[in-house]
Amino acid sequence: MLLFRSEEHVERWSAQHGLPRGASMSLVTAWALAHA
Amino acid sequence: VNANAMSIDDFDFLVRREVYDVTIRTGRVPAAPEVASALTEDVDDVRASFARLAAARVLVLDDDRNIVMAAPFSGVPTLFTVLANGISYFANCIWDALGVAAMLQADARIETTCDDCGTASSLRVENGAVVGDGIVHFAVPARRWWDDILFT
Repeated sequence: MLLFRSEEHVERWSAQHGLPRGASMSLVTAWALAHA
Repeated sequence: VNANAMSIDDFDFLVRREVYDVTIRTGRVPAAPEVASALTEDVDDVRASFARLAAARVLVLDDDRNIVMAAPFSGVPTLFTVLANGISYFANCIWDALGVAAMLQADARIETTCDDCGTASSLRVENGAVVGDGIVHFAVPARRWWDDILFT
């Protein structure tokens, strides 16, 4: 799981690696789940 | 403690606890000889325990049976550094970096980079809240994480 600057960066990274775009979430949501 | 006189689960629990105690205290994931010395156990018994813990997906080992991952900590340097309590830790990914801060229940600073453009990113965890910008991306769906956990 990686951190990207924005959704645009996620799209570009996924295309460059030939991977389908996966799920993404905000840092705040990820932090909340880290406590779960 | 006699490893042979204990149930596998009890011994493995002791090994796991020692691995995590050392990691949290030092920021460095210990090798089998260090764990064996601390527990006054045979190193081969500890290595066997490492293998059982890896089979249970508690640890991830490399080809030399050293710990690569003791989630959320990494046994090798990564692009995810967590600074907390004056100690520097390596995490396996951004998810685990947040997990380190949550596990330690401490204020923390997370240093990483955007994997697309390489721009450095510094996040903070302060008073139980995360401060910073960015999008967490899961390239691999959860049901396939263990197909190749190092890539995940």
